Amino acid sequence: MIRLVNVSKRYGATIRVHALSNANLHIKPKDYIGILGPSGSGKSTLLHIMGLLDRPTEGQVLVQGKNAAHLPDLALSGLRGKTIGFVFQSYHLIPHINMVENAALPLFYQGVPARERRQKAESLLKMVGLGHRLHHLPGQLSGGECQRVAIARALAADSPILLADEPTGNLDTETGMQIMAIFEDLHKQGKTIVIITHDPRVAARTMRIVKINDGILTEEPGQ
Amino acid sequence: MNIGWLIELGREGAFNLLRHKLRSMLTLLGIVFGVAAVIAMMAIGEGAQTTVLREIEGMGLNNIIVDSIQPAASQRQKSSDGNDDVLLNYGVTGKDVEQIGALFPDAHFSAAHLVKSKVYFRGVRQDARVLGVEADYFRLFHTELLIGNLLTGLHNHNQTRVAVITEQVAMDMPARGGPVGKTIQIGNYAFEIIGVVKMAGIDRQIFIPYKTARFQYGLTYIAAETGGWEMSRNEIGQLVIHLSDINTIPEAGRIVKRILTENHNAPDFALKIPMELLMARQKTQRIWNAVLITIAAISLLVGGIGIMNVMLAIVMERVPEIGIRRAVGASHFDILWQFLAEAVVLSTIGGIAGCLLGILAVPLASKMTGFPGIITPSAVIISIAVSWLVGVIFGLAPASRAAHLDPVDCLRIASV
Repeated sequence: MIRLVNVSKRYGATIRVHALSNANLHIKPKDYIGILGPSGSGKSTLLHIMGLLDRPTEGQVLVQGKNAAHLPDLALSGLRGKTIGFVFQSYHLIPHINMVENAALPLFYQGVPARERRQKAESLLKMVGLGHRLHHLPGQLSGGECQRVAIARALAADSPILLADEPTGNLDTETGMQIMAIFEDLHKQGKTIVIITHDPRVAARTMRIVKINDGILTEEPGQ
Repeated sequence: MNIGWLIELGREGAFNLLRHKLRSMLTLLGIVFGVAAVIAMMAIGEGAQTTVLREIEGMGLNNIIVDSIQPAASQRQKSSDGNDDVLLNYGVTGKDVEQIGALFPDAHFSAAHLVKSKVYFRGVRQDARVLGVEADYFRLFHTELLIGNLLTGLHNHNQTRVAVITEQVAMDMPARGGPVGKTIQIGNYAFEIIGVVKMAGIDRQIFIPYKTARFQYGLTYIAAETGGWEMSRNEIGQLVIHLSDINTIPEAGRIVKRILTENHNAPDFALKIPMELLMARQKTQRIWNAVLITIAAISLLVGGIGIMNVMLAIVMERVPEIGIRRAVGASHFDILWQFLAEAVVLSTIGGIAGCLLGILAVPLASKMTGFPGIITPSAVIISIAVSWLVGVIFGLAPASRAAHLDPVDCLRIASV
């Protein structure tokens, strides 16, 4: 699904900061991976590169067999929209549009007609248990509810891969566990899921743990 | 990309603008006033143009018209003995016509005889000029016969007392069944009105057969009203020189003017060349158009800068949203189109509002300038199209800035 080959990412021209050095990672279909690392370890950089939001300084990023490092923006965005669904720590919902519109957002860029987008978004919101909150604005919902909308959005384009960046970071433990339960369900349904976290308890719920420290990836032996 | 998608972008843009009504409205003002001013000025310009051109063309572009004018007392020639001449000779003479005629053998000359007697209708003094004209006079001008008949050669030959009046004169003659068949009094004689005409550029005029005027009223007129009396003599009241080739008019005009200036010591004639009036008018129109375009360009520039300014602020304010959209699959172009659509919606609404305001302002501007306002569809379409274009041009820089933001940076800002 996603393969990183000798990926490095450096920032700055004079003082170089290695956010990621020589990372190799192979995410196979139906993987459920936890990437565990403290803040500043390069987790977010890894997520952005895997999610095709950023390009590596060196190395190859193969998504669905395509080398993303050299794709032009239009193709890269298309690939991102179709294959990857993001779930962020602070939900990243657009505040002035309602839940249905937020959840349907990826479909807009896939050229799906408005009515189909709405139907799809509504059914996904019902699936994550928000059938009664379809027309609320993000500000009117709790953190857990917002995160469920974000998951619904990540699923809207039927992307095979979900990339979650500290999905429970802003939530209390109980709500966090509910969100993790949703991820586990989705994994059972066949989604490939990557969860980035600093919390070993969250990572422990995944099937495969990759540790990251100072931009260096180390995989723990299989569980 | 398709039309539906663009419409959706436009609708979304409009929705976003509605979230900040005051800001959007203030941004629009520049475009609104700019477009309104253009619409109003174009309407008045068009109205003035049409009015004046119709009048000039009505006088006949192939004509050179010389009117005799009785000079004011101060400009009169003293006779050799220092006393006022008892008889005042003025205006175009047969000699003038002879000299001009010799130079333009192909031209058609029509001399009109001015009758200075007062005109009465049912005892009420009418303010109108009485001209004795040949039957072909009407063909030299754009004449529209509203009712009745024109003068004929037979009327002229028989020195019949019949008159054709202009509609301006007819309007002041309230008579049941219209003026045709009614009688007017010109000096000592009664005339039957046989027709009413509309002639562009000619206002209050009464036409009678040339020979009737020439032989029944004569060349000399005695005015006795201001305590004393005054005798004046005029051979030709109006001379119309009709040239078949319009290109020879300017040169012919200069020659006619030279001959008349040589023959006349006092300014007792007025030379009117419709063709030259038209050219002068067209030149004025070109200047007016240039001024109009400049004003329009400046106001639209100001409006456009306003839009650009606000769009830049909108982009900065929506950086997190841009990051989110990029993350869910939006490309550079998607973001570019989104903000461009918003700018275009803004400027187009401004253009439409400006058009409406301009159309409302036209009657006022018309009242102030005295010209009718003519709103052409092309003016409206051009205004809206131009304001649309302003949105595209001034929306492009902010939209492109939004499109080229790094999605990672945007998301980082979103997380803060």
